[in-house]
Amino acid sequence: MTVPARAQDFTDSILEAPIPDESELTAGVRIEPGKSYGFFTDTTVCIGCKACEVACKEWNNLPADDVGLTGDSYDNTGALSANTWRHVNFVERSGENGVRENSQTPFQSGWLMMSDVCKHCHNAPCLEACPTGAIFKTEFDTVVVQQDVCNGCGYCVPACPFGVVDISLLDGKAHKCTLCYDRLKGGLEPACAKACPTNSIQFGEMDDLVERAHKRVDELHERGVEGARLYGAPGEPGATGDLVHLNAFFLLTDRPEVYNLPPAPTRPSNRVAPSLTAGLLSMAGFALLAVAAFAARRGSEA
Amino acid sequence: MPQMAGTVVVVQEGRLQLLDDSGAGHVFILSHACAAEPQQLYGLELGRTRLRIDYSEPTNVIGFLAEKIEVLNEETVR
Repeated sequence: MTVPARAQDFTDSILEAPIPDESELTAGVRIEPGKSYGFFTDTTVCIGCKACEVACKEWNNLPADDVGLTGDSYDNTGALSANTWRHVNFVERSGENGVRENSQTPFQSGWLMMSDVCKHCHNAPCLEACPTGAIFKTEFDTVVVQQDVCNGCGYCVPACPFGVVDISLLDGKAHKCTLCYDRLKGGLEPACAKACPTNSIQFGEMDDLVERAHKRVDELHERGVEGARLYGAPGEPGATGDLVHLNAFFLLTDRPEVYNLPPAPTRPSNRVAPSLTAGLLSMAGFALLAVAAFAARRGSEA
Repeated sequence: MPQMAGTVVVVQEGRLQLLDDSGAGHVFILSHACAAEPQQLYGLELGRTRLRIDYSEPTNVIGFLAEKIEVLNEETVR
């Protein structure tokens, strides 16, 4: 790993002020409005440490919830929710007949771990469903819920094909990952990506991330990981149904369903026209039946 | 209703962290009933304002629900 050149300018342990454009040092990218940013999560190097969960809760001042044992492996947050914007999935796999194999191939064969997050869809269904305009696209091509505008109607919740957005029962508003909008504005990379010790969560410009992801898949194929695939990158599974691409996309080693991801998510607004047409046709059909029945009755009376 | 006094140190959306007089931080979430709005909290953070919060304790969450927020000046606190 190369050390960014500017890192040599800040060698003191205690700094007097925040480092300008700090993301150049930590993620190798300068954050500028008008460009498209996102996450590339390489699950093959995730170790399930949950540093991303902690960093997210710490920065966003989110309370811990669902306190207790889930009974589901090492998972203690269960799912993404209004208070949990990063969730590390633990998928434990065994060999044939439920018996764990004595030898395992590298890159997550027995355990699949994946840090799940809001996908910040290019065509975001939650944004399309929001009647108040509380959900908006930022200047960094990310999707954020504006809290003072959200009225808690909850339309965004079923609209999300990934089950990410959630209404908090405490304040009655919709909440989800903001891709650290406040940090991006200050030139900092998102807290989860900065905290990730293995660089499983990589932050950057979308074009760079997609190129990096394809190289990684090729490298894994060469090393014998035949199941390596992208999810949510342009033209790949997950970027289906008019979603175009996901700004938070993943490198998986198994089918998306294994990671609790939908294999072919779609944009709910695509179903409006067929549904409306079917409804209108049904109404017209019932009206014709009623007219026919009325005419038949009049005919029999005459 | 229980109360807690302290200084606002972090604000995110409708959540704030209050540092009590012993130096411990507590997460508060604005409830439906609270008259304060999320956009008002940022000014309190910038001013490191001292507050007294009437709160309730929701189940299954490590945090408190702020029902009423009162801005205190230094004299009132001491």
